[in-house]
Amino acid sequence: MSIPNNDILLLIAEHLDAKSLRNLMRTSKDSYRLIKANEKSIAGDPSLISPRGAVLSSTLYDSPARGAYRTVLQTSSFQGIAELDSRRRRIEAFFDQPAPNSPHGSGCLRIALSEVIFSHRLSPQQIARLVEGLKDACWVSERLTDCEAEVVNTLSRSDTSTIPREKVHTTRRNVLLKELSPIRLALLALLGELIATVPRGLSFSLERARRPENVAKNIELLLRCGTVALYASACDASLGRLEMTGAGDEQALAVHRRMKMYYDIQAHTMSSILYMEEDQNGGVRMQETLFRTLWRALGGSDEVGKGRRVWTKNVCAKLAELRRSVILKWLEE
Amino acid sequence: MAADKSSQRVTLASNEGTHIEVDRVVAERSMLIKNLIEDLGDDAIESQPIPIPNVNDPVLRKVVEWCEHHRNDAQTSADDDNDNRKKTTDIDEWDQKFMQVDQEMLFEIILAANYLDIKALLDVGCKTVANMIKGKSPEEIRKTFNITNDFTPEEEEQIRRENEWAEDR
Repeated sequence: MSIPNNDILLLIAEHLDAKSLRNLMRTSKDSYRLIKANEKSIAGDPSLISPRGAVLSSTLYDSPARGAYRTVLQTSSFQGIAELDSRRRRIEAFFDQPAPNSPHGSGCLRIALSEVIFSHRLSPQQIARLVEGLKDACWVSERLTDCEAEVVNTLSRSDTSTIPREKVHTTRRNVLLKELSPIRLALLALLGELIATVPRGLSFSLERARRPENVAKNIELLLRCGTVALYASACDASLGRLEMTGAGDEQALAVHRRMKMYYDIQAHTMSSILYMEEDQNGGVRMQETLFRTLWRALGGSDEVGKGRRVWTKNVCAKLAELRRSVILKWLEE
Repeated sequence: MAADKSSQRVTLASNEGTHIEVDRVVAERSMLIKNLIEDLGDDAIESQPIPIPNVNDPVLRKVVEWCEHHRNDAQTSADDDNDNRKKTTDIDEWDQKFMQVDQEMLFEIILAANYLDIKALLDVGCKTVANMIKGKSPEEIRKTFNITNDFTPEEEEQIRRENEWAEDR
Protein backbone atom coordinates (compact mmCIF):
# COMPACT_ATOMS: atom_id res chain seq x y z
CA MET A 1 0.00 0.00 0.00
CA SER A 2 1.37 3.45 -0.88
CA ILE A 3 1.06 6.60 1.25
CA PRO A 4 -2.72 7.15 1.29
CA ASN A 5 -3.16 10.82 0.44
CA ASN A 6 -1.48 14.21 0.25
CA ASP A 7 -2.59 15.33 3.72
CA ILE A 8 -0.95 12.30 5.30
CA LEU A 9 2.19 12.74 3.18
CA LEU A 10 2.52 16.33 4.45
CA LEU A 11 2.03 15.25 8.05
CA ILE A 12 4.80 12.68 7.61
CA ALA A 13 7.03 15.25 5.90
CA GLU A 14 6.80 17.47 8.99
CA HIS A 15 8.70 14.83 10.96
CA LEU A 16 11.59 14.50 8.53
CA ASP A 17 15.06 16.01 8.72
CA ALA A 18 16.37 17.98 5.74
CA LYS A 19 18.11 15.10 4.03
CA SER A 20 15.18 12.67 4.30
CA LEU A 21 12.81 15.38 3.11
CA ARG A 22 15.00 15.95 0.08
CA ASN A 23 15.05 12.22 -0.68
CA LEU A 24 11.27 11.96 -0.34
CA MET A 25 10.86 14.90 -2.72
CA ARG A 26 13.00 13.11 -5.27
CA THR A 27 10.83 10.00 -5.39
CA SER A 28 8.17 11.31 -7.83
CA LYS A 29 6.82 14.42 -9.49
CA ASP A 30 3.73 14.44 -7.26
CA SER A 31 5.80 14.26 -4.07
CA TYR A 32 8.11 16.97 -5.36
CA ARG A 33 5.31 19.38 -6.30
CA LEU A 34 3.38 18.77 -3.10
CA ILE A 35 6.32 19.24 -0.74
CA LYS A 36 7.70 22.20 -2.66
CA ALA A 37 4.27 23.88 -2.65
CA ASN A 38 4.03 23.45 1.12
CA GLU A 39 7.59 24.47 1.94
CA LYS A 40 6.55 27.17 4.41
CA SER A 41 4.21 25.03 6.46
CA ILE A 42 6.63 22.09 6.59
CA ALA A 43 9.71 24.17 7.33
CA GLY A 44 8.09 26.77 9.57
CA ASP A 45 8.39 24.68 12.66
CA PRO A 46 8.99 26.50 15.93
CA SER A 47 10.15 23.35 17.74
CA LEU A 48 13.50 23.66 16.01
CA ILE A 49 15.61 25.82 18.24
CA SER A 50 15.34 28.75 15.93
CA PRO A 51 15.22 32.47 16.25
CA ARG A 52 12.41 34.46 14.75
CA GLY A 53 12.64 35.30 11.08
CA ALA A 54 16.05 34.51 9.72
CA VAL A 55 19.35 32.77 10.38
CA LEU A 56 22.87 33.20 9.08
CA SER A 57 24.17 30.40 6.90
CA SER A 58 27.14 28.33 8.04
CA THR A 59 28.05 27.85 4.41
CA LEU A 60 30.32 30.63 3.26
CA TYR A 61 30.14 32.44 -0.03
CA ASP A 62 32.88 34.30 -1.92
CA SER A 63 32.70 37.94 -2.83
CA PRO A 64 35.56 40.10 -4.16
CA ALA A 65 34.36 43.00 -1.99
CA ARG A 66 33.57 41.13 1.24
CA GLY A 67 35.78 38.05 1.04
CA ALA A 68 34.12 35.01 2.63
CA TYR A 69 30.68 35.90 3.96
CA ARG A 70 27.54 34.23 5.35
CA THR A 71 24.19 34.72 3.71
CA VAL A 72 20.75 35.15 5.30
CA LEU A 73 18.32 32.24 5.22
CA GLN A 74 14.63 32.33 6.11
CA THR A 75 13.72 29.91 8.90
CA SER A 76 10.57 28.96 7.01
CA SER A 77 12.51 27.46 4.12
CA PHE A 78 14.18 24.14 3.44
CA GLN A 79 17.54 25.93 3.44
CA GLY A 80 16.65 27.16 6.91
CA ILE A 81 15.93 23.61 8.11
CA ALA A 82 19.15 22.36 6.56
CA GLU A 83 21.09 25.11 8.34
CA LEU A 84 19.58 24.21 11.71
CA ASP A 85 20.27 20.50 11.07
CA SER A 86 23.83 21.39 10.21
CA ARG A 87 24.22 23.40 13.44
CA ARG A 88 22.79 20.57 15.49
CA ARG A 89 25.24 18.05 14.00
CA ARG A 90 28.15 20.44 14.43
CA ILE A 91 27.36 21.21 18.07
CA GLU A 92 26.91 17.52 18.95
CA ALA A 93 30.19 16.68 17.19
CA PHE A 94 32.16 19.28 19.17
CA PHE A 95 31.34 17.33 22.34
CA ASP A 96 31.77 13.81 20.92
CA GLN A 97 34.29 11.56 22.58
CA PRO A 98 37.44 12.14 20.51
CA ALA A 99 38.32 9.27 18.19
CA PRO A 100 41.09 8.69 15.64
CA ASN A 101 40.19 9.78 12.10
CA SER A 102 37.09 11.68 13.24
CA PRO A 103 36.33 14.79 11.15
CA HIS A 104 38.06 18.03 12.13
CA GLY A 105 36.42 19.80 15.03
CA SER A 106 34.91 16.58 16.41
CA GLY A 107 35.50 16.17 20.11
CA CYS A 108 37.56 19.38 20.32
CA LEU A 109 35.47 20.93 23.11
CA ARG A 110 35.44 17.66 25.06
CA ILE A 111 39.25 17.75 25.01
CA ALA A 112 39.36 21.45 25.91
CA LEU A 113 36.95 20.83 28.80
CA SER A 114 39.30 18.25 30.29
CA GLU A 115 41.89 21.04 30.57
CA VAL A 116 39.58 23.20 32.70
CA ILE A 117 40.94 22.96 36.21
CA PHE A 118 37.66 22.73 38.10
CA SER A 119 36.34 19.96 35.81
CA HIS A 120 38.61 17.45 37.60
CA ARG A 121 36.59 17.91 40.78
CA LEU A 122 33.26 17.14 39.14
CA SER A 123 31.32 13.87 39.24
CA PRO A 124 30.40 12.16 35.92
CA GLN A 125 26.82 13.41 36.41
CA GLN A 126 28.04 16.97 36.89
CA ILE A 127 30.26 16.71 33.80
CA ALA A 128 27.26 15.48 31.79
CA ARG A 129 25.20 18.41 33.05
CA LEU A 130 28.01 20.81 32.25
CA VAL A 131 28.27 19.44 28.69
CA GLU A 132 24.50 19.89 28.22
CA GLY A 133 24.83 23.44 29.54
CA LEU A 134 27.67 24.15 27.12
CA LYS A 135 25.63 22.78 24.21
CA ASP A 136 22.89 25.20 25.25
CA ALA A 137 25.51 27.97 25.30
CA CYS A 138 26.40 27.02 21.71
CA TRP A 139 22.74 27.55 20.74
CA VAL A 140 22.65 30.84 22.62
CA SER A 141 25.72 31.99 20.69
CA GLU A 142 23.97 31.06 17.43
CA ARG A 143 20.94 33.06 18.55
CA LEU A 144 23.14 36.10 19.24
CA THR A 145 24.79 35.76 15.83
CA ASP A 146 21.44 35.52 14.09
CA CYS A 147 20.61 39.05 15.26
CA GLU A 148 22.66 40.06 12.24
CA ALA A 149 20.38 38.05 9.93
CA GLU A 150 17.33 39.71 11.46
CA VAL A 151 18.82 43.15 10.94
CA VAL A 152 19.77 42.42 7.32
CA ASN A 153 16.28 41.03 6.79
CA THR A 154 14.54 44.06 8.29
CA LEU A 155 16.72 46.60 6.53
CA SER A 156 16.34 44.96 3.15
CA ARG A 157 12.55 45.11 3.52
CA SER A 158 12.37 48.74 4.51
CA ASP A 159 13.86 51.97 3.31
CA THR A 160 16.09 52.53 6.29
CA SER A 161 19.43 51.92 4.68
CA THR A 162 20.85 54.96 6.41
CA ILE A 163 20.82 53.10 9.75
CA PRO A 164 24.29 51.66 10.33
CA ARG A 165 23.72 47.92 10.23
CA GLU A 166 26.57 47.09 12.57
CA LYS A 167 25.23 49.51 15.19
CA VAL A 168 21.73 47.98 15.11
CA HIS A 169 23.18 44.51 15.15
CA THR A 170 25.42 45.15 18.15
CA THR A 171 22.63 46.89 20.04
CA ARG A 172 20.31 43.92 19.51
CA ARG A 173 22.94 41.47 20.67
CA ASN A 174 23.69 43.57 23.72
CA VAL A 175 20.01 43.66 24.63
CA LEU A 176 19.80 39.90 24.24
CA LEU A 177 22.95 39.34 26.28
CA LYS A 178 21.61 41.43 29.14
CA GLU A 179 18.42 39.36 29.20
CA LEU A 180 20.27 36.06 29.70
CA SER A 181 20.32 34.34 33.09
CA PRO A 182 23.61 34.37 35.06
CA ILE A 183 24.21 30.65 34.39
CA ARG A 184 23.79 31.08 30.64
CA LEU A 185 26.17 34.04 30.70
CA ALA A 186 28.68 32.08 32.73
CA LEU A 187 28.48 29.12 30.37
CA LEU A 188 28.93 31.43 27.38
CA ALA A 189 32.06 32.83 28.99
CA LEU A 190 33.36 29.32 29.69
CA LEU A 191 32.60 28.25 26.12
CA GLY A 192 34.58 31.22 24.77
CA GLU A 193 37.49 30.26 27.00
CA LEU A 194 37.31 26.64 25.84
CA ILE A 195 37.38 27.77 22.22
CA ALA A 196 40.50 29.80 22.97
CA THR A 197 42.24 26.67 24.23
CA VAL A 198 41.29 24.28 21.42
CA PRO A 199 44.61 23.04 20.01
CA ARG A 200 45.42 24.47 16.56
CA GLY A 201 48.34 23.00 14.65
CA LEU A 202 51.81 21.93 15.70
CA SER A 203 52.89 25.34 17.00
CA PHE A 204 49.99 25.45 19.48
CA SER A 205 50.86 26.47 23.01
CA LEU A 206 48.33 26.21 25.84
CA GLU A 207 50.13 28.94 27.73
CA ARG A 208 49.79 31.33 24.78
CA ALA A 209 46.17 30.26 24.23
CA ARG A 210 45.33 31.21 27.82
CA ARG A 211 46.68 34.73 27.50
CA PRO A 212 43.99 37.27 28.42
CA GLU A 213 43.92 38.90 24.98
CA ASN A 214 43.44 35.53 23.30
CA VAL A 215 40.65 34.50 25.68
CA ALA A 216 38.94 37.88 25.23
CA LYS A 217 39.29 37.65 21.46
CA ASN A 218 37.72 34.19 21.38
CA ILE A 219 34.82 35.14 23.65
CA GLU A 220 34.14 38.11 21.39
CA LEU A 221 34.42 35.86 18.30
CA LEU A 222 31.95 33.38 19.79
CA LEU A 223 29.45 36.13 20.60
CA ARG A 224 29.75 37.58 17.11
CA CYS A 225 30.04 34.49 14.90
CA GLY A 226 28.50 31.66 16.93
CA THR A 227 29.95 28.16 16.64
CA VAL A 228 31.07 28.83 13.06
CA ALA A 229 34.02 30.63 14.69
CA LEU A 230 35.14 27.33 16.22
CA TYR A 231 34.44 25.35 13.07
CA ALA A 232 36.32 27.89 10.96
CA SER A 233 39.27 27.74 13.31
CA ALA A 234 39.26 23.91 13.12
CA CYS A 235 39.26 24.18 9.32
CA ASP A 236 42.07 26.70 9.54
CA ALA A 237 44.07 24.27 11.65
CA SER A 238 43.56 21.32 9.31
CA LEU A 239 43.99 23.17 6.00
CA GLY A 240 47.78 22.99 6.01
CA ARG A 241 47.71 19.26 6.73
CA LEU A 242 45.18 18.63 3.94
CA GLU A 243 47.23 20.66 1.46
CA MET A 244 50.47 18.95 2.38
CA THR A 245 49.18 15.39 2.37
CA GLY A 246 46.76 15.84 -0.53
CA ALA A 247 44.12 14.13 1.61
CA GLY A 248 41.25 16.45 0.70
CA ASP A 249 39.49 16.72 -2.66
CA GLU A 250 39.16 20.11 -4.38
CA GLN A 251 35.69 20.77 -2.97
CA ALA A 252 36.82 20.07 0.61
CA LEU A 253 39.89 22.25 0.14
CA ALA A 254 37.75 25.10 -1.23
CA VAL A 255 35.47 24.90 1.84
CA HIS A 256 38.52 24.90 4.15
CA ARG A 257 40.06 27.89 2.37
CA ARG A 258 36.85 29.91 2.59
CA MET A 259 36.53 29.01 6.28
CA LYS A 260 40.13 30.07 6.89
CA MET A 261 39.49 33.36 5.08
CA TYR A 262 36.38 33.96 7.19
CA TYR A 263 38.26 33.18 10.40
CA ASP A 264 41.14 35.46 9.40
CA ILE A 265 38.75 38.35 8.63
CA GLN A 266 36.89 37.94 11.92
CA ALA A 267 40.03 37.48 14.00
CA HIS A 268 41.58 40.52 12.36
CA THR A 269 38.49 42.60 13.21
CA MET A 270 38.70 41.49 16.83
CA SER A 271 42.40 42.23 17.01
CA SER A 272 41.87 45.71 15.58
CA ILE A 273 39.17 46.41 18.16
CA LEU A 274 41.50 45.32 20.92
CA TYR A 275 44.34 47.28 19.44
CA MET A 276 42.25 50.42 19.02
CA GLU A 277 41.06 50.11 22.54
CA GLU A 278 44.56 49.90 23.88
CA ASP A 279 45.67 52.70 21.62
CA GLN A 280 42.85 55.13 22.21
CA ASN A 281 42.64 54.93 25.96
CA GLY A 282 39.16 53.40 26.30
CA GLY A 283 37.43 54.79 23.22
CA VAL A 284 33.90 54.39 21.90
CA ARG A 285 34.41 51.01 20.26
CA MET A 286 34.91 49.44 23.63
CA GLN A 287 31.39 50.41 24.62
CA GLU A 288 30.10 48.17 21.89
CA THR A 289 32.08 45.03 22.50
CA LEU A 290 30.05 42.08 23.63
CA PHE A 291 32.77 40.89 25.97
CA ARG A 292 32.23 44.06 27.97
CA THR A 293 28.47 43.52 28.10
CA LEU A 294 29.04 39.96 29.20
CA TRP A 295 31.48 41.10 31.83
CA ARG A 296 29.05 43.67 33.26
CA ALA A 297 26.07 41.31 33.07
CA LEU A 298 28.02 38.75 35.08
CA GLY A 299 28.57 41.32 37.78
CA GLY A 300 32.00 42.64 36.79
CA SER A 301 32.98 46.13 37.84
CA ASP A 302 31.82 48.97 35.62
CA GLU A 303 35.15 50.65 36.17
CA VAL A 304 36.93 48.16 33.97
CA GLY A 305 37.55 49.62 30.55
CA LYS A 306 38.16 53.14 31.68
CA GLY A 307 41.82 52.47 32.11
CA ARG A 308 44.38 52.22 29.36
CA ARG A 309 44.55 48.44 29.07
CA VAL A 310 41.16 46.78 29.06
CA TRP A 311 42.08 43.17 28.45
CA THR A 312 44.25 42.79 31.48
CA LYS A 313 45.09 39.54 33.16
CA ASN A 314 43.05 40.76 36.13
CA VAL A 315 39.86 41.21 34.12
CA CYS A 316 40.11 37.76 32.60
CA ALA A 317 40.99 36.20 35.95
CA LYS A 318 38.06 37.99 37.57
CA LEU A 319 35.71 36.89 34.77
CA ALA A 320 36.92 33.30 35.19
CA GLU A 321 36.28 33.54 38.93
CA LEU A 322 32.77 34.95 38.43
CA ARG A 323 31.74 32.31 35.94
CA ARG A 324 33.34 29.50 37.96
CA SER A 325 31.37 30.36 41.08
CA VAL A 326 28.08 30.65 39.14
CA ILE A 327 28.69 27.34 37.34
CA LEU A 328 29.78 25.41 40.43
CA LYS A 329 26.74 26.64 42.36
CA TRP A 330 24.51 25.54 39.47
CA LEU A 331 26.18 22.11 39.30
CA GLU A 332 25.70 21.57 43.02
CA GLU A 333 21.96 22.31 42.91
CA MET B 1 -30.67 10.00 34.46
CA ALA B 2 -27.28 9.43 32.82
CA ALA B 3 -24.58 7.54 34.76
CA ASP B 4 -21.42 9.18 36.10
CA LYS B 5 -19.13 9.99 33.14
CA SER B 6 -16.16 8.07 34.53
CA SER B 7 -18.09 4.81 34.78
CA GLN B 8 -20.19 5.26 31.67
CA ARG B 9 -19.81 2.79 28.80
CA VAL B 10 -20.41 3.57 25.13
CA THR B 11 -20.75 1.31 22.10
CA LEU B 12 -18.90 1.99 18.86
CA ALA B 13 -20.18 0.53 15.59
CA SER B 14 -17.62 -0.20 12.86
CA ASN B 15 -18.47 0.10 9.16
CA GLU B 16 -18.98 -3.67 9.14
CA GLY B 17 -21.70 -3.35 11.75
CA THR B 18 -19.73 -4.98 14.57
CA HIS B 19 -19.98 -3.38 18.01
CA ILE B 20 -17.19 -2.61 20.45
CA GLU B 21 -18.07 -1.50 23.99
CA VAL B 22 -15.60 0.80 25.73
CA ASP B 23 -15.42 3.23 28.66
CA ARG B 24 -16.59 6.68 27.66
CA VAL B 25 -13.25 8.24 28.71
CA VAL B 26 -11.47 5.84 26.36
CA ALA B 27 -13.77 6.72 23.45
CA GLU B 28 -13.30 10.39 24.19
CA ARG B 29 -9.62 10.18 23.24
CA SER B 30 -11.20 10.80 19.86
CA MET B 31 -12.21 14.44 19.52
CA LEU B 32 -14.74 13.43 16.88
CA ILE B 33 -16.50 11.05 19.29
CA LYS B 34 -16.19 13.51 22.17
CA ASN B 35 -17.91 16.24 20.17
CA LEU B 36 -20.51 13.79 18.92
CA ILE B 37 -21.38 12.74 22.49
CA GLU B 38 -21.67 16.37 23.53
CA ASP B 39 -24.00 17.06 20.59
CA LEU B 40 -26.17 13.96 21.05
CA GLY B 41 -26.34 14.11 24.82
CA ASP B 42 -25.57 11.47 27.47
CA ASP B 43 -28.92 9.71 27.24
CA ALA B 44 -28.71 9.16 23.49
CA ILE B 45 -25.38 7.35 23.64
CA GLU B 46 -26.65 4.99 26.34
CA SER B 47 -29.42 3.77 24.11
CA GLN B 48 -27.69 3.50 20.73
CA PRO B 49 -24.21 2.72 19.33
CA ILE B 50 -22.05 5.49 17.89
CA PRO B 51 -21.50 4.83 14.18
CA ILE B 52 -17.90 4.99 12.89
CA PRO B 53 -18.61 4.57 9.18
CA ASN B 54 -15.06 5.08 7.85
CA VAL B 55 -13.30 2.47 9.99
CA ASN B 56 -13.50 -1.32 9.74
CA ASP B 57 -13.59 -3.71 12.68
CA PRO B 58 -9.90 -4.78 12.93
CA VAL B 59 -8.69 -1.19 12.62
CA LEU B 60 -11.25 0.12 15.11
CA ARG B 61 -10.17 -2.57 17.60
CA LYS B 62 -6.53 -1.49 17.17
CA VAL B 63 -7.49 2.16 17.70
CA VAL B 64 -9.47 1.25 20.83
CA GLU B 65 -6.48 -0.75 22.11
CA TRP B 66 -4.30 2.35 21.74
CA CYS B 67 -6.92 4.57 23.42
CA GLU B 68 -7.22 2.10 26.33
CA HIS B 69 -3.47 2.20 26.90
CA HIS B 70 -3.37 6.00 26.71
CA ARG B 71 -6.63 6.64 28.59
CA ASN B 72 -4.93 8.70 31.29
CA ASP B 73 -2.66 10.76 29.03
CA ALA B 74 -3.28 14.49 28.87
CA GLN B 75 -5.11 15.57 25.74
CA THR B 76 -2.85 17.53 23.39
CA SER B 77 -3.92 21.07 22.68
CA ALA B 78 -3.53 22.99 19.43
CA ASP B 79 -0.51 24.79 20.96
CA ASP B 80 1.17 21.52 21.87
CA ASP B 81 0.51 20.47 18.35
CA ASN B 82 2.47 23.43 17.03
CA ASP B 83 5.28 23.43 19.54
CA ASN B 84 6.22 19.88 20.36
CA ARG B 85 4.93 17.53 17.79
CA LYS B 86 7.16 17.96 14.83
CA LYS B 87 10.73 17.12 13.90
CA THR B 88 11.26 14.53 16.60
CA THR B 89 10.77 10.91 15.77
CA ASP B 90 11.15 9.51 19.28
CA ILE B 91 8.40 7.01 19.98
CA ASP B 92 7.85 5.37 23.36
CA GLU B 93 8.45 1.64 23.63
CA TRP B 94 4.82 0.55 23.94
CA ASP B 95 3.83 2.64 20.91
CA GLN B 96 6.72 1.23 18.90
CA LYS B 97 5.50 -2.31 19.58
CA PHE B 98 1.91 -1.26 18.89
CA MET B 99 2.96 0.03 15.48
CA GLN B 100 4.71 -3.21 14.50
CA VAL B 101 2.01 -4.08 11.99
CA ASP B 102 2.02 -4.54 8.23
CA GLN B 103 2.15 -1.42 6.10
CA GLU B 104 -1.50 -1.61 5.10
CA MET B 105 -2.65 -1.71 8.73
CA LEU B 106 -0.21 1.11 9.61
CA PHE B 107 -1.75 3.42 7.02
CA GLU B 108 -5.27 2.32 8.02
CA ILE B 109 -4.49 3.30 11.62
CA ILE B 110 -3.15 6.68 10.45
CA LEU B 111 -6.26 7.30 8.35
CA ALA B 112 -8.52 6.26 11.23
CA ALA B 113 -6.63 8.50 13.67
CA ASN B 114 -6.99 11.37 11.22
CA TYR B 115 -10.73 10.73 10.75
CA LEU B 116 -11.41 10.23 14.46
CA ASP B 117 -9.23 13.22 15.31
CA ILE B 118 -6.86 11.47 17.72
CA LYS B 119 -3.82 13.73 17.37
CA ALA B 120 -1.41 11.73 19.50
CA LEU B 121 -2.12 8.50 17.60
CA LEU B 122 -1.85 10.29 14.27
CA ASP B 123 1.45 11.65 15.45
CA VAL B 124 2.81 8.22 16.41
CA GLY B 125 1.69 6.80 13.06
CA CYS B 126 3.35 9.59 11.06
CA LYS B 127 6.54 9.32 13.13
CA THR B 128 6.63 5.59 12.44
CA VAL B 129 6.44 6.22 8.69
CA ALA B 130 9.00 9.04 8.99
CA ASN B 131 11.37 6.58 10.68
CA MET B 132 10.86 4.19 7.78
CA ILE B 133 11.94 6.96 5.38
CA LYS B 134 14.97 8.16 7.33
CA GLY B 135 18.31 6.99 5.99
CA LYS B 136 16.81 5.68 2.76
CA SER B 137 17.71 6.81 -0.77
CA PRO B 138 14.92 7.99 -3.12
CA GLU B 139 15.01 4.58 -4.82
CA GLU B 140 14.67 2.73 -1.49
CA ILE B 141 11.76 4.98 -0.49
CA ARG B 142 10.04 4.24 -3.82
CA LYS B 143 10.44 0.52 -3.21
CA THR B 144 9.17 0.72 0.36
CA PHE B 145 6.04 2.69 -0.48
CA ASN B 146 5.41 1.47 -4.00
CA ILE B 147 6.01 4.86 -5.64
CA THR B 148 6.57 5.07 -9.40
CA ASN B 149 9.52 7.16 -10.53
CA ASP B 150 8.14 9.45 -13.24
CA PHE B 151 11.18 11.74 -13.53
CA THR B 152 13.35 11.72 -16.64
CA PRO B 153 17.10 11.37 -15.92
CA GLU B 154 17.52 15.07 -16.82
CA GLU B 155 14.78 16.11 -14.40
CA GLU B 156 16.33 13.94 -11.69
CA GLU B 157 19.67 15.63 -12.17
CA GLN B 158 18.10 19.09 -12.12
CA ILE B 159 16.21 18.34 -8.91
CA ARG B 160 19.33 16.90 -7.32
CA ARG B 161 21.15 20.17 -8.05
CA GLU B 162 18.25 22.31 -6.82
CA ASN B 163 18.27 20.45 -3.54
CA GLU B 164 21.93 20.57 -2.70
CA TRP B 165 20.97 22.54 0.42
CA ALA B 166 20.34 19.23 2.12
CA GLU B 167 23.83 17.87 1.50
CA ASP B 168 25.96 17.26 4.57
CA ARG B 169 28.02 20.30 5.45
